[in-house]
Amino acid sequence: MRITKCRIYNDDIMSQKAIDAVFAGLFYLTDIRTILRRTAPLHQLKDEEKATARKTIDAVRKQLTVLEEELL
Amino acid sequence: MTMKCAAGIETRIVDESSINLDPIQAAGRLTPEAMKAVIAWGDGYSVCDHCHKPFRLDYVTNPPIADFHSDLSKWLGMDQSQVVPGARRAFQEVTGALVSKGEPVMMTGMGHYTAYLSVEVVNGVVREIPPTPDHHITADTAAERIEAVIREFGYAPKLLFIDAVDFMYGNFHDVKGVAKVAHQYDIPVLYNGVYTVGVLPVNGKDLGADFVVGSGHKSMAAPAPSGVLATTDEYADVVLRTTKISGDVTGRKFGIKQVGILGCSLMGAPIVGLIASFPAVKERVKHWDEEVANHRIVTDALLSIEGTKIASEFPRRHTLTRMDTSASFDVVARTHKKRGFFLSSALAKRGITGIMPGVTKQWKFNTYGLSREQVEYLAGAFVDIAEENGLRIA
Repeated sequence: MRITKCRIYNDDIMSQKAIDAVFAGLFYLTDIRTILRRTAPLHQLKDEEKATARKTIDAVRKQLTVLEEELL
Repeated sequence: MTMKCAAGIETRIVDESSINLDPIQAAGRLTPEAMKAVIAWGDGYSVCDHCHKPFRLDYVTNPPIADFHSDLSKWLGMDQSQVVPGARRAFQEVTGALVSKGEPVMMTGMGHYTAYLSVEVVNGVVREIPPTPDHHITADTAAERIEAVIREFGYAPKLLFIDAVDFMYGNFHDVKGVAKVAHQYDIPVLYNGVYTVGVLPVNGKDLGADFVVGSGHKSMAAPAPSGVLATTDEYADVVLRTTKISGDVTGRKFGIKQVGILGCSLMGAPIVGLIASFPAVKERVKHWDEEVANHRIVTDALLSIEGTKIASEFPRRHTLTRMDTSASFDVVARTHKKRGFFLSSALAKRGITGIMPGVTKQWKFNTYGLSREQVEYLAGAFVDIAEENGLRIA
């Protein structure tokens, strides 16, 4: 029988940052999905919508950076 | 290539790519909050992480299911409430508690089929209140039909269903008047609010309702299947009753589980979606007038097309409308190479979906939740299609 040695569950083995980044990234993408819905079918964004989209896309990028740092 | 969620399941992009006019889908579109909650809580029994004694769904505080129940009751102007897997299950729970084999239930002739089936499942008997020629349910007709049922059965109906707004025409019905009549005969009243609860203000007690039923997936921006049942303290004891059964050999008992809905009713994505959307839903009902104003931009544009009529009550008070284009778009369809499919096809080319393909005589649409820009685009699209096909615009 092959078993894996258990370890104490603590910050060393659990990447809370990675978990948070996954959900934050998905939530920001959901906000972008909402913009797509709100502006369908032409998706011609007004200036303020573009500003919101820009900010949200940047936030997604930040989460990806966290994931790279935490997991790779 | 179409993007897929999983083998054989396409990624659904209807609402991201198009203006969707499907009458039953409009107010069930998720809020961003619900989408996020579903991402985090979509696993089967996720909401049971913190289920402690007495082990009942409406006692769970994380996520805040307990608070949701009390807020919901207050918001609907009722005493107690329960979440259910769709309005139809609420109908079934009420008929299951109040109607026995062979007993009559009053139903409006414009009711949803599931209301009829909820009577059939308990072997009850349906007796209908016919709509007026202009498709309304009135208190006078209700009184006549109740009298007829009493003559036929020797006693009053056990329950009366009344749709606040019907699915056929999107017309408002005289709920208060009908409820007043029903109560004169001691008949409990079930207010079917699947097209009102979650889109416009509803106060059950003000309306004279003993039961208020709403649909999460139709009008409360929640995933399916979800719905709500609210009632008074008087009827809660009967309809929301708790189990008393026990096993004859084992003696097993089942705490305070509710019988009518077979215990815990709504878990995972449907309940967290319903709760997550609730603050936005409570806010959006205050803006119903804006939704109707947006809708009228589209109906005005349609009415500007020669021969076009509105089959629903007019002026419009709801965002779901039945159009009569038998003297406009249907005339085009008779000679168009795509026949009746020309309309849905022309709309699709303009990024608009949700109207039944092939239908050009009478069809329904719902603009709930669209932005002003979207309704203006939609209004322009209908006029454009009419002009393109030689119809005159007033």
